[in-house]
Amino acid sequence: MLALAAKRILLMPVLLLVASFVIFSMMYLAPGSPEAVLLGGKQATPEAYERVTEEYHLDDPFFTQYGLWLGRFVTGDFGDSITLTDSVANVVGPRIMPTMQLTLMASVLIMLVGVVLGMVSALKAGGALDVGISLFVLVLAAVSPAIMSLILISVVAIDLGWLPALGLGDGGFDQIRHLILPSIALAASVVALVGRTARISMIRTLNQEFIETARSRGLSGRSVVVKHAFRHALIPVVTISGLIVGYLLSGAVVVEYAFGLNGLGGLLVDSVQSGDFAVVQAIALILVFAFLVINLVVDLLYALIDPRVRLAAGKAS
Amino acid sequence: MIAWAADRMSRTGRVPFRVQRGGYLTWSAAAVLTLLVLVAVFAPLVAPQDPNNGVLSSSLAQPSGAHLLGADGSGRDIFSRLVYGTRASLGGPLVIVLVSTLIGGGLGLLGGFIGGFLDGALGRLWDLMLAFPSLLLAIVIVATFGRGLVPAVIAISITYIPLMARVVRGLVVSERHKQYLAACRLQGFGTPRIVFNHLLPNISGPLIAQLTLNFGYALLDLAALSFIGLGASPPTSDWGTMLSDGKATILTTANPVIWPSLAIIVTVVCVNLVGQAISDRLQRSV
Repeated sequence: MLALAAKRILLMPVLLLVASFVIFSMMYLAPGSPEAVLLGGKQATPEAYERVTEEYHLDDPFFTQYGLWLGRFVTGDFGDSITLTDSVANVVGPRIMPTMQLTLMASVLIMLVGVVLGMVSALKAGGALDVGISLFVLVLAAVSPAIMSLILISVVAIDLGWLPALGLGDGGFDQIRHLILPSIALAASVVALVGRTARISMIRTLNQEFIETARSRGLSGRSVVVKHAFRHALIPVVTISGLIVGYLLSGAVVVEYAFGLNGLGGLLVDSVQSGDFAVVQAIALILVFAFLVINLVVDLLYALIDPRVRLAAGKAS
Repeated sequence: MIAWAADRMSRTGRVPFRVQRGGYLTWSAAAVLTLLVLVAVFAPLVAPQDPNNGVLSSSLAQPSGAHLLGADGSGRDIFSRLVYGTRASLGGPLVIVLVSTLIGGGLGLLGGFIGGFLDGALGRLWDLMLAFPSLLLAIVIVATFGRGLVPAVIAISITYIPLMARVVRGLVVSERHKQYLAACRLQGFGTPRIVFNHLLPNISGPLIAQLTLNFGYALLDLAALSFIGLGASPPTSDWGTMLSDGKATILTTANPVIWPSLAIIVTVVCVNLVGQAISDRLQRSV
């Protein structure tokens, strides 16, 4: 277990380092000189060129530039945003919280609704309710965050007027209220995925011998399901949760854009469109970092929950 | 976005109703897809109006005789835009699936078949690529090389390469030590002959099922990129761009977003049903 954790934790900086290198190299891969790329490909004064050249040490050898750039990044100096005339750190910083709230709320929804749908479906396997839920889930899986956002805005926010359609409101509780529809839009298609996974896993679990043993010992149906089957059936759901994180971070970009939320995703789209390369680099690196950290935590939790993973890892090392 | 998860799902996520060969659901889905392909090919014959020229007086018109499905904010005929949109919305994912299969699948085959250092190095490369959430990688690539349908298709293709490489590698590794391959080697067959005449046919089944599912996910990814304004740009338009255009006028009417949404949902559901039927049939025959 310790060996597994150590290996995963040691691997992370390596992945981050290479990812940062890829993100840095992008400004050389882009058409045009790196100065022009950093200045958004627009006409710029010679002073601006000089400033960027100096800031990014563009006269130095490639790897020296990368090292200096990385050094600045690590210390929290992300450079300046060209369109918003502020430091990237000031621009990006306030955008982190809404994105975290959004993805967190969506995760809670996914786990609650997805697991309940899957379990109910499995307990009524083959029945009308199961077929109904499965058809619902099949369609839900095809409803991308973009479509779900538009449906919710149009039906729930505009036609019914129950919840706000756009923006983040005045912070605090109002911000949570503004994030309800976005988090549903973000969660929807993953609910389908989790529902399908939970359903098949529960059906398989209920067919296993230890469940039969529990029943033969005279335990009530409810107790067997709640105490014995449920926990075991959740393991595959935990397995795919790492993938779900990647999906949520991707989907958040689309949902934030649709609802006009000032999160990282919305800012990323704006910055790509306006050619604000320093901001794009910073957000890309933050999201990759978040993705890797969450995945690491999920994997370690997984090993804690399922003794078989722990034992297998112990044997392998 | 979710293709990797789906790759695992495809092995476990049976649906309880009949989606088998000959099942009416599968055949209807296949029929709908065939119809869509025909519409894409014969778009100029099917579309009643110019998809890009709108009359402002009919801006946001509701469905009527003049506009079968109504008109969008710029007064363009929604039905005609939907018809022309099938080209990018089906052609894009097709290219994505082909490119990612040729490159990713090819490298996966190479790594799985040869093994050793090459296999390990490729595996690390896929690890690295998967360290980026997939849409984020696509966005970074588009940010680098510029917007448009072609960069978007290339960007999404790149995000599918590690997925396809892993799938193909897994299939190849599970076949590598089977007796029929040893028999081929004993008979002195060359490597290309073994790979193309014997190995590939044996893994083609699950591969085709995976490709079908990938097509659906690629369609959603491409629509997502177009929706946030980083995919198809005028005059080319796909269903994702239509969603994006419709978003601008959603406070007035939902009509312009309903139709592209339906088109995307129906297409993806049909693709998934067909993919499910293919993999179900293959699993039974094994």
